[in-house]
Amino acid sequence: MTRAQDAERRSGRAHGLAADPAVDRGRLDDSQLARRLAERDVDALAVFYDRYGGLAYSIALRILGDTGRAEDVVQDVFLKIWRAAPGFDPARGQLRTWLITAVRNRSVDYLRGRGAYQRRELELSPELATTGSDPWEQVSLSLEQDAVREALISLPAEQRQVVELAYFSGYTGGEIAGMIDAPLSTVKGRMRLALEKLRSYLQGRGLEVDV
Amino acid sequence: MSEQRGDPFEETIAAYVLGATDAEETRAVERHLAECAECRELERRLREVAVMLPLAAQGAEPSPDLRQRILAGAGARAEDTRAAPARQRRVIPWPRLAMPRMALAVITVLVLAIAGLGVWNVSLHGQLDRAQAAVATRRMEPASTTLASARGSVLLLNGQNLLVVSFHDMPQPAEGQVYELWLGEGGRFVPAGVFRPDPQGSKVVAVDEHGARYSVIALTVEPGPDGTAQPTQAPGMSGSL
Repeated sequence: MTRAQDAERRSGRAHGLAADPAVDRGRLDDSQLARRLAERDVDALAVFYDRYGGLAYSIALRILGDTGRAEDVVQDVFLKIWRAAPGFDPARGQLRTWLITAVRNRSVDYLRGRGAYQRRELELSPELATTGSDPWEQVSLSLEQDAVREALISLPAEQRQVVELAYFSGYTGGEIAGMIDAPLSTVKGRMRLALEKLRSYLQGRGLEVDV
Repeated sequence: MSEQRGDPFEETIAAYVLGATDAEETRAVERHLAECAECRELERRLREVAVMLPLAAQGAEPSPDLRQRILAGAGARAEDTRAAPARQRRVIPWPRLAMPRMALAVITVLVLAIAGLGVWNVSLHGQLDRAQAAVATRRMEPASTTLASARGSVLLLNGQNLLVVSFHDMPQPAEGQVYELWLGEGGRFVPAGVFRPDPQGSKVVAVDEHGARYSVIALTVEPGPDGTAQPTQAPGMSGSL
């Protein structure tokens, strides 16, 4: 096999997938995009990155605070999803949720020095709903981002603090209890209250809290 | 759960979905979830919120190389991994739409200043003291590969009931099609103007609507010359207001 033929094979073009001119991949919704990824369509990977690469990087950067490490995490996660895509079942959850959960978990693992492969972030919870076809996913994403930021800001400071320390810094409840000099039960209670309030806030903004 | 109030698992499940349980607690929660339908329901409800938390991250842009590295790592061909071409500076065409005199004056100052700085997406803070209070800038980001190299900037002229949207590096829409702008709030969108870019791919559009009423601006390709009443296509660009 020549180098060019090998490149064709690896890119998926040998299967005619990426050379399909009738498909504008930019218009695929996430479920359709997931199917294309599973079919090893590298153009779909480019669209996937163009759609969510900035979001993934923003998440990693927020957690890690370092541009180089944030890019390493994003690269790692996108390639892991690419490799695992043939096993992805769109009926079991959203592609975006898969990505952002993996980026968050991998970033926290880096931050805390945990083994990068100890997690099972590529297993989606079957309860996570799929949205089906939605041509306005990008606009919805922007709305959701605004709403989540506002929801976090709306929390009482002590509740926001425990959520930030747990979710974005990767500390356990016990560690947080030590840091803020509060009983573990108090920390857990604040976490529970925070999540319930966030849910109410987001639902009050008309968002389906159903990622 | 948890017929008794104060069942420790109720609180621990919140920590569990936030990833804040240690290994021993995690195993205990998972064992409990396997046998308690009520706690599984609680876990589902709380996890639905937790997985949205990453969306709170403020927007940041990775280096262009990252896209290239990822596609190269996936075995894409060289042409697939080519970085987007460097963005060219463009002369900003003058908006032709009618607009209030005060807004026109503010835009005149801004366009002259921006032309002098040579950059459209520039922070004007500290540069234009008088205009500063009146103006906020937002970016519109490409949401499709067709518009991957396009740029969109929005000026919100506070108190002038006016948005000024500037596009650059826009490909020409197909014959018979136009770009249509939309303003959105709560999942509902109203049309905010149609246009075709000039031969250089630029266009400045003034939208005589109060941007404060809307949280999102988006762009689609629609049938020309008048566009449509509701979007029929996926957005090619979008941004928060």
